[in-house]
Amino acid sequence: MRMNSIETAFLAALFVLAPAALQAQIHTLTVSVDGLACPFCAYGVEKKLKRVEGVESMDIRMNEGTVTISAREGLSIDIKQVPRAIRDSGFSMREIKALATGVVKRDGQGLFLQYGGADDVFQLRELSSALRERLLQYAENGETVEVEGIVEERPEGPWTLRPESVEGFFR
Amino acid sequence: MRLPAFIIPVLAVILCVFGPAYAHEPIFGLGPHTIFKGGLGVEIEIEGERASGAGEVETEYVLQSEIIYGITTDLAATLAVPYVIERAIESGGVERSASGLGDVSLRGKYRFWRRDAPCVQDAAAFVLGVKFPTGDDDRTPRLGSGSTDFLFALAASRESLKWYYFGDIRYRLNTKGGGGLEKGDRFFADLAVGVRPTRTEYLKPDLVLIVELNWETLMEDELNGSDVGDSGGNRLFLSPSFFFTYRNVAVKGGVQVPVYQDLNGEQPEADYRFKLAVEGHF
Repeated sequence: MRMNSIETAFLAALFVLAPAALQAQIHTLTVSVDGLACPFCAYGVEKKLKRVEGVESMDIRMNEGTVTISAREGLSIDIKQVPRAIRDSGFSMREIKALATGVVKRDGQGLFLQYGGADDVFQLRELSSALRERLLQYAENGETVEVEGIVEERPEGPWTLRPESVEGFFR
Repeated sequence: MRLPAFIIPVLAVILCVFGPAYAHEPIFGLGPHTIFKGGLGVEIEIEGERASGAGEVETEYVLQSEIIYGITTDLAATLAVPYVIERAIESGGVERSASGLGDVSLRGKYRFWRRDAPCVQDAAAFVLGVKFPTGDDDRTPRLGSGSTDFLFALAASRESLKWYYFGDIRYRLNTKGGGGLEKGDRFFADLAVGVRPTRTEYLKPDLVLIVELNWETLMEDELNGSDVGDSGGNRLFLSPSFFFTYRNVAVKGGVQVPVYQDLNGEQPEADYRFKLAVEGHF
């Protein structure tokens, strides 16, 4: 079968773009920060979050009480440094929403999203049966998925992620 | 980890504050703000005041530099070094003036309570301070009190995107200085309300307008153990002030206008005071 020029261009673009899109990483974090009432004081948040590994830029929204953090190209945001950075800046973290790319792993009854090295893992929780089936399929196929959801900090073991949206790249 | 024994007295001294020098706070009163952990604040401020009456006119202009350091998120220490540009007393057509280093103070603040909610922060802090007799008290007029003085204070606030509320009480314990003079202790109580006329975002200019009420009770001075009749009394100031910031730089200032003065004996009464400061956090 011969490919036409449009198909060729599409495949070429896919090969060029795929490595960046499929790299396992945390791309974006949206952190809800309580106590943000003065822009001058919010400088501490900027200062502390800029020291977190993998952070390229951030957008502090005073009126929404959120900070959106974007990853440096090719790097993952070290999410485990974020709660401490917020605490040290003098505010309270209410919630973290993460957009991460990784592969789904199964361990017994648990499902995990591995977004980096062996320790960079979220335990996926509160899954509907339909979503669980989809994720099991991704795990079996070893497909890369993009998951957006609410992260919960755990004192021990992997942090958890409650997916709000899941997208597989090669279904 | 055990702290070395000398740390405790050092911390006790560091945990001191004499005046407001933090972020979004009243200009003349005190708030519970601290700086972020490891943060460094630098402030340069100019203060002035004029008092007249009882045949005298007193004026003073002071340039003060302050360094603030965030030891933890809730504990900040400040070193304040005042330089008296001019302190002058005119009496009977004769003016005497002096300038030079004033009394250096080491001060700190511990925020013992904080409650964060979306776009709102409530906080309370206590402050302790020590002022050292570094200013020359042999000159006329004096540049320093010649005494080591202490201050204890409690401050609380509620801050939101639109409104700010502050309240504090302060007590300054003065000790005996040079020439047998012991200035009377002072009690202060401050209330402040601030409003942000236009809501803003981070990395945008931000203006907060504040109105303060500052009460002062001055105990009588003592000279060689005897009360000085022409000293002490009560004062109330109304103080409009502002706070303008952009990212990590703030410009703030205000004027204190006396609305009530009841001073003992014959003393010059305050005409006005002002303060203008530039502060940066790094």
